[in-house]
Amino acid sequence: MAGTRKQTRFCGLSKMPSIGSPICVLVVEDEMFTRMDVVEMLRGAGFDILEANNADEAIQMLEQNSNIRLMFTDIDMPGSMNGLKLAAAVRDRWPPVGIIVTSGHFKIKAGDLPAGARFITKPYWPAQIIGAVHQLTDAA
Amino acid sequence: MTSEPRPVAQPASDALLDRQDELPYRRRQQALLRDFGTAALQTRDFRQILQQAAELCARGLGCSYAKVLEYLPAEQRLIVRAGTGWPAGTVDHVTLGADIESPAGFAFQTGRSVISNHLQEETRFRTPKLLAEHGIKRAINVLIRRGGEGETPFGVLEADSHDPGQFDEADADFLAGFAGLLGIAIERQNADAKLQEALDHEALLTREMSHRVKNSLTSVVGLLRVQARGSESVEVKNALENAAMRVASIAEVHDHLWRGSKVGFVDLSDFVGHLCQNLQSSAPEHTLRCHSDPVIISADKAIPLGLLVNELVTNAVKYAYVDGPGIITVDAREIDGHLLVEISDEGAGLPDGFDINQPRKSLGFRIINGLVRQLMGELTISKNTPRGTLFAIRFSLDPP
Repeated sequence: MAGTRKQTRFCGLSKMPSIGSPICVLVVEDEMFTRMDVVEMLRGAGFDILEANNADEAIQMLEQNSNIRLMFTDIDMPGSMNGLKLAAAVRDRWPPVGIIVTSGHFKIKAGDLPAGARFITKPYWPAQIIGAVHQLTDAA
Repeated sequence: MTSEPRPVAQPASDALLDRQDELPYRRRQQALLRDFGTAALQTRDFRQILQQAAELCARGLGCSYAKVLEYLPAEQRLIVRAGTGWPAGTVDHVTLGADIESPAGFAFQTGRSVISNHLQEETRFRTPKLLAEHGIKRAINVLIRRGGEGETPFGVLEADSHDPGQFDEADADFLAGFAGLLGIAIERQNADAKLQEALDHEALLTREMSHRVKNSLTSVVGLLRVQARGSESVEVKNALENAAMRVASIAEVHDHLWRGSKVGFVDLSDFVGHLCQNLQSSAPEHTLRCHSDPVIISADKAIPLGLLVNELVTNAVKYAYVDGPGIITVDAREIDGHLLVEISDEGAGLPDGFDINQPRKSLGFRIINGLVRQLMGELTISKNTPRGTLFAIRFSLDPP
């Protein structure tokens, strides 16, 4: 159900009576309402979601979950890495993981993002996000 | 090079000028001081002020050389910042020691005017290389103070002559007059620079504030959407989603405010373009066509206008096309200091007898009327050709 607000640390634990297991997406966003909004949006579209507050939490979750297929991350976050550094680190350590980066502040230039990563400006709308997530996870 | 018109050849013991020559000479000095004072007031180009000081004081003293020296604290030297008579490459390159062993250094260190009428025979000072190379025989050096107290002086104003003759106390006073005016100009430049710094800082803070407002509003949009999803009632869900859209259109203006080049203003074409992209994403079944002239408008106008476009496009999305997708057009043009914004569709059209001014329950139309009033504009509703509805909003732009 779309309104489930249980924050899990592992993908694939929620027993979904669907054919096969849902695609696991990691959402990294420090602003709570924005994160809740995008997480619910993606859950509603049928994805299995992990949530991280910052880059360090995101790295931990990637280490513990080999089934994460895509990371959706904000750029402007407190902590040791911003979203751009996180994207570079993820491409380096987990090359198959798809990457979508979002920001309301940064203007992204070619070369700022790892190859194949997508950029979406904030504020974003449900259709944009869901479309991009589908494109990147279907291709994999 | 002008030769030195000053008819002085008397020995220092009776250095008084012939009274008939003295008067026009001093009058000319006064006139030059006045000219410099006027010119210094009229320009804010600091270099030009320094250059004029050098040229005019050389004329006033009937000599071929003059220079403005600025003190460089890190090197403890005086650098030539402006001058007349010196070869190219002197300004901003040649420096001299600021110690009391040179006439300029002595003036700088002691604050006293230094008259040297026989530099070649001078025993108090060593003659700087620049002066020796040009056969300078006599010089006056006066301190250039900065306005304000307790500050290191700016440097030294120096006039030099390669002709024999005498500079006297009155000449030194004349040069000190220039130095005083220069000090005021320097102080004014400092004040200008500080003011500009403060203005830049203010612009930075204003942008930062817009950025924060936008972030907070984006957060509110997220909250409203989460609440909408959590609601069981369709009516409440719709109301919260509409609220989210309205707040998002205000956030959009703030997003353009902090990015824009003019503080407090946005480029309408940028802003309308983004707003339309957002509206298109939320209504993917329809086709939204947007055009806007590149008009710079204030946030006070952009916020209600963004809300109006949001309301009218949302309204068309909901009601214009009952069976299937359609086209919605947003067009903003500047005409004679007014902005004309048209939102049109090719759909079912408004019901006969529709009057937007009738008291209605619809929040959408109450908002539309309120926003048009806020813009001090007018709204006209007509039939679009070949069909559908045309909403036209016209309001006066702020004078640029």
